[in-house]
Amino acid sequence: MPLELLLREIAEDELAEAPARNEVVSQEDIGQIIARKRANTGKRTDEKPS
Amino acid sequence: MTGSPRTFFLSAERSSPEESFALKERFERNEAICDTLHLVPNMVLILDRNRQIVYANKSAATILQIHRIEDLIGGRFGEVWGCVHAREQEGGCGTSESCRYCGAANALAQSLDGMDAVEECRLLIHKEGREESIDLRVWAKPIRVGGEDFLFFSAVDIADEKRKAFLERIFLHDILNTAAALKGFTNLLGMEGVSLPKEEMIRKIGLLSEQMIDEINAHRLIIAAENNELVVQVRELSSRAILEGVLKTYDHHETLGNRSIRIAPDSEDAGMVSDPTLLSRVVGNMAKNALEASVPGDVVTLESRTRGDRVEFRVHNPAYMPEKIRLQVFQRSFSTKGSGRGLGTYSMKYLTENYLRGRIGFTSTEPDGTVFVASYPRHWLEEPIPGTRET
Amino acid sequence: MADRNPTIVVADDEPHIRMMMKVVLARGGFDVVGEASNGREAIEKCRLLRPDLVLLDINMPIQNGDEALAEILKDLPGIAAIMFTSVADSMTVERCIEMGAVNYLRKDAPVQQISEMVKQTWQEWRSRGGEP
Repeated sequence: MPLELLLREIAEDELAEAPARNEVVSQEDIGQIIARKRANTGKRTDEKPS
Repeated sequence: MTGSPRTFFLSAERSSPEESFALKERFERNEAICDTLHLVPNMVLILDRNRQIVYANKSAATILQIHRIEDLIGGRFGEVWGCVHAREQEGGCGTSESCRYCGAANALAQSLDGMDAVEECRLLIHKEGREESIDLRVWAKPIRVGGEDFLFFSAVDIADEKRKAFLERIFLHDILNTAAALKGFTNLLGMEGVSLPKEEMIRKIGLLSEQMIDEINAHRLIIAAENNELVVQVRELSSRAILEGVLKTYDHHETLGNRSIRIAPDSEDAGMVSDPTLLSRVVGNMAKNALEASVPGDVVTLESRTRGDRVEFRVHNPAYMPEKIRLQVFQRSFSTKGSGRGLGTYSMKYLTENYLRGRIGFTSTEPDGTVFVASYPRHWLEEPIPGTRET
Repeated sequence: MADRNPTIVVADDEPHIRMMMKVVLARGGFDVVGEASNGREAIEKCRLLRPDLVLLDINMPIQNGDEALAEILKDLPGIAAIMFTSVADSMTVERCIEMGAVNYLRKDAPVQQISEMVKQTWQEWRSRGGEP
């Protein structure tokens, strides 16, 4: 495949996937996010393998 | 409501050509406004409530490569651009399913509701037999001129802005990674019970600092190239010297993991005239990509060859990638998700084609593995004369 | 089982980061049994070595850490997967935790803190019986 075509596809694919800018979080924030998620979802039902 | 054309999003109702031209004439009576619009360097379209063009400024005509503004009257934004979705439905631009996700269509919807809107819009257009992407920022506002309601619509190409943001994102990611490692080893130096000898950690800190400077310089280079600020500095050089420089950069066991890199024993040493900094950057990136695409145990081979009046730099790794996987592998390799590789590939091509007068390509076959080939003229100022060969 | 060191695989495309984490984790009482430089390798190493924990960088070539996370958790539902990254945004954090990552660490934290957090994560994981 010609490199030009490949790069074009990749660049377009990449730009299309560019994530929306969202808030950068500190380690402390991360801790809070995790605590919040745990409180909301409760226990998972899968088991630890022996 | 029978007889009303189908739409998945915006109204499909259309003004007749007579109505559109009548509106155009009424709008044109506002000479001061028209004169001002023609001074605006960005594309400006004046639309009626059916989103059809009743007026356009000179920039619009230039950008859309239309000779007469009259040719735009009655058309909708997507239609005049050649958007691939503009003819999907009978109602035209704004009525297909894809239009629901279109920035321009959404901006227009907001302005029809009385609001000022600005959106980003990625248009896929038909151009010269292929599809092309255009990245735009669009503004849509309701306006009242000469007692009548119109929509003011403007669009600006933001491809450069997006590309710069993309490069910056990669750069920041890479440099933060290096900085984190630098900080980590510096911390470890001050700690007890660490399994690595202090001399080793000091050496690492040195390497990481060099790496950081290299990343900053690589980024500066590509930004300069993007801004057309790059000045090529050519001199006589040996292709082998370029390969040796690249080898030196990558031949550290930390970088290599369980892969190795070497110069092919029968590699030719070609004298040529080019910019050694840029050339080293390109060949270095080829090597970097090859190393990352390799599995433990693989050997990456660097080589240079003369081919008539050109010099080839070849970077080989044994991994074969079938086309489907190759596209996928290099998508990751060349994207922001892999640190710096998008920049590497992008700058490889950009520098080669725009500054070094070269060509770059690759092949991948089952028996032979993958080879990246960058080919450059031996003599800087001479263009190859068709039908003759230089020795 | 309680007396042996917990085993861990470190996945990051930056070799210096891998080396740094090997040293930090060894000091913290972990056995680094394997390394990976991309997501695909991370999945393979985890499958092969069946470690107690895996440290996953997000931005890696060939396959990202967050994509590898899904595969690894399928193979080893009891593994403690910790994301480890230089850029942290709220969306990615939430997504990884939802997918089953146990913790999410920023690389630029002081190494002492990183070590503590990995240890703490492991202890909490064990005390919850390997469930979130």
